[in-house]
Amino acid sequence: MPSEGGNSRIVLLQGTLDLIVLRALTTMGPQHAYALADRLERVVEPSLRLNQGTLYPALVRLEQKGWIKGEWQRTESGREAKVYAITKAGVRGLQKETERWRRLSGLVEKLLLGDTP
Amino acid sequence: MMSFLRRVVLRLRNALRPGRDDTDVTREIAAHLALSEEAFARRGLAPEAARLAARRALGGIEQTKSLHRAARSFAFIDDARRDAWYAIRTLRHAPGFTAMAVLTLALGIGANTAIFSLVYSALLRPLPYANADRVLFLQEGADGNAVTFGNFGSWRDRSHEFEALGAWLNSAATFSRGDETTRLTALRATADIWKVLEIPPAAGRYYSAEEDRPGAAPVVVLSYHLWQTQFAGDPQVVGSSVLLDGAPRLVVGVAARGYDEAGNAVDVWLPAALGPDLLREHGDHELSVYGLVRRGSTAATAMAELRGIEQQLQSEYPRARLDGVVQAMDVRQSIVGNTRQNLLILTVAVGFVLLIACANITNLLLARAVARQKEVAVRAALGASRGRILSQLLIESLVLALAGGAFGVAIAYAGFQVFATAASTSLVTLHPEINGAVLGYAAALALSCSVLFGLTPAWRASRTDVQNTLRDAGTRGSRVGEAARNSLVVIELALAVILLAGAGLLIRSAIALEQVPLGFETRDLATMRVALPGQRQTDPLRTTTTFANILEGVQAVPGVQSAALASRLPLFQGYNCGVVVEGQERDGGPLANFRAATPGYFSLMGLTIRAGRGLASGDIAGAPPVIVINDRLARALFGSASALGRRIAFCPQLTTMTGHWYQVVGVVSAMRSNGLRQDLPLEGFMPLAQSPDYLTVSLVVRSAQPIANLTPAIRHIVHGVDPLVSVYGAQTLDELVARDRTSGEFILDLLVILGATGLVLAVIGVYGVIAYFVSQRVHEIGVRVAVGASTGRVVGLVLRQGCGLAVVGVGLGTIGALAGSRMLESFLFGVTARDPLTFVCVGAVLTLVALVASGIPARRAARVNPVTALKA
Repeated sequence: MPSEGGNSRIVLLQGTLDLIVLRALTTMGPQHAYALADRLERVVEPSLRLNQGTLYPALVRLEQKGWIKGEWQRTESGREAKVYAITKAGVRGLQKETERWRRLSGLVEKLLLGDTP
Repeated sequence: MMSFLRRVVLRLRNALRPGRDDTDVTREIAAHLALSEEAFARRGLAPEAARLAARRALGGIEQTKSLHRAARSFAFIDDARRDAWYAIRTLRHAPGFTAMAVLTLALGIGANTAIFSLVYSALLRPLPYANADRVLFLQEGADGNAVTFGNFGSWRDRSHEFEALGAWLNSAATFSRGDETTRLTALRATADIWKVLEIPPAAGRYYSAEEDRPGAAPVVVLSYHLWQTQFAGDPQVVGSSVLLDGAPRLVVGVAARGYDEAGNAVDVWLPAALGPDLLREHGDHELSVYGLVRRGSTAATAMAELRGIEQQLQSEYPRARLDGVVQAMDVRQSIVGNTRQNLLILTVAVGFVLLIACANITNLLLARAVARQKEVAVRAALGASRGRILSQLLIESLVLALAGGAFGVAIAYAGFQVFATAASTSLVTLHPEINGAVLGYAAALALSCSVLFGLTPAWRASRTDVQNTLRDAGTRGSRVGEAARNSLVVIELALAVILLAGAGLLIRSAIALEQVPLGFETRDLATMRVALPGQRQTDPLRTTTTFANILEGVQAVPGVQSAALASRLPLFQGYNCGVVVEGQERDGGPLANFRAATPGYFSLMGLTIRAGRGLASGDIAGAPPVIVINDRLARALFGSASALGRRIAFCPQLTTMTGHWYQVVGVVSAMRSNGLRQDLPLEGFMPLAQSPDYLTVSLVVRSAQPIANLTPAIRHIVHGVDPLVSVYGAQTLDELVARDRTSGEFILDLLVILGATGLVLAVIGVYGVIAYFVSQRVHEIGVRVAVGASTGRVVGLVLRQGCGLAVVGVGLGTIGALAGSRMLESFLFGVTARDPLTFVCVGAVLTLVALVASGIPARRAARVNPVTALKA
């Protein structure tokens, strides 16, 4: 399902969200979906505002790959929530994906610079 | 990579086992919303506002769920599954339509699956032989004769392009165990046959070249099925002795099951033990020869070499009447023979029936699509994309087709019982079965059918104009699609014409065969085979005495009016060879059919003596050799001159060995000895008492009693003469004739059934379309009646519609049938492939039936009440 009004918003590249989620889980430790969404909204500029629901496909993808694992727990306020933690495979995956991302963005950067007259 | 695979597996699992994760997601989203709401409330929003804000931030519960579902499974599978359930519910609500469609399809797919299973077992199943691709079946002469002993030996000695050449000849043996004797079919095969047609033995070993020599210790290889039926698959039987023709033979092994499955109807394999005397015989065509082309050589090279050898033989043995031709066919063809043609015709015919069935279902679906316009429009209005609607409708077709396919396989399975009872055909030896390939074929058929009949209606329905349909309630079907419906019916009618024309031609052939004059009597005549043990050919006098004693005994059996013996009865191909007249040895004479008989044979069979005398009791061993020839042979050899007193010899090559000239003592009327489909043969009869070579003969008895009542007494008499003689195959001559008449009847029966099915389906198609035509025009007809159209005119309007379809369909079908009927030519007798009577009748029948089918809706049209029609 394509997102609407793509021009004014930054469209997240496929996989970018996965990277952000993995990164957040490494720095912040295990989190539930709402906390992750909340953090995304705080850290990233408002221009990148997403529906929080779009986080879920990323979570499903990562969990199916075995990179994160979700478990039902109680929050401090006593509510139940599914809390996701990064796995060993996830740490390795994050490393690999980060490298790949750096290479890719470096390459794109170079191409863009080369193109300017 | 691992993580990627893991994901694919999980997505597949989720797609196929839905619902499990749905509750978990619902729970997670609820928790998410609660936390979010709490946060908004902490920021000072009122409870209701916080709830809304939380939802807005999430972006919709259902949307999130569907995003989740799309990520965790494969959406298209998920959709297909949902559509399938929806289709099943929809179809359950239309039981009449569903039953009709499934039944039609089940018949179509079932017939196709059954025929395919035959095609598979005959033409596609891998052959069991290890080197089947290098094996050639070899025949001599332009008309594909068996090979002579001598030529086989010369081929074996002189050729280098064949790794091995194996041969066998048909034989028989009497198997005794305790008091019981059983007649077995045997193949006397050279040891090399095991190398040429190689399959490892089921037990023990095959016999060696040393054991395949005259005078070697007698051995036998059992066939797999004999091992199973007579010895319960006991491995101990290998190494033991069995009694064959009264002498013990060592069982060295059991042949592989593959030999049975490849269609070799044989009980025991015996060494051919071809001795030097037989290998000098270049005129007697007896052997079936198989050659294994040397690895690295080709069939073409090997055959070129073999033809060279055959031409040498032709000049070395001028009196052997060789024509220097050797023919080769691959093993499969040697097994399947003309079955290929049978199967091709049947495949086309069942394919037509399935196409007609599909056309009918398409018409049903087109009509249904009109009725369902509103449902489709509502779905479209609710946001279903055109692709989704199309795929949903196609899946409905698929569900129908799969249900039809499942029932079809069941029908095919039942159909095997029919094949099994049609024991007169060679198809039975092909062991058809439902296996993976056949099931796959049925599934593929169902799938392609669903596309074939589902695509057009689904495409049309998915183009439904939402607004218009919803606005004017969409019940009045448009005339759009009328052309499609009409052309489908035309196609159906055309296919039905082709099927019926084929069936019609075969029926005409059957009638023509029925009228063939036999030239012999059948009333109150019955026959059975009497076989002497094969090993006793050493003593000719003993053979003739045994037969004489048997005949004498049988004539004394109460109820037997008269009896005779003959080497072969009519309708079984006799011993064909060349004839020369004494004094004209240089001129090659014609080929004629030779049989041996006892004196009573002619009067028993109702033949007329045209000149001279018949065979007499004085024509015995030691007396001058005599022969009675039929009037056709007399004319061929002597023209209008008298044949009596002239001397002839046949198979000159043999004659030089035995030095026999036969004096013609009589001329007898001709009978259709070689089969009803053959011309009257040139034929000669020798006295059985002067022909000690025949060890197996046919006993013919005239009796008013059923043959089954006489058999025990006859068997008792025969065993009194010699306990090792077997008696088998009792039947009446009427049965014999009927079997020959019906030998092509398997395909006739199937074509008649298929033609009838096609006709019924096509009629249903015509009826459906005309009925729809009337229902769409009730308003128009009402107007016509209101302005004064007579009932006749209204009926005429409808009938004209039906008649138009019929004429176009019959016309196209006749063209197709004329083009295709040549396929049937080899099955026809006494009628040409373009028999005008058949074609006119079929066309007339179909037109008439189409008119009757339109008559029912026409009557309804005539009863249209203009007042109600115009109010509606």
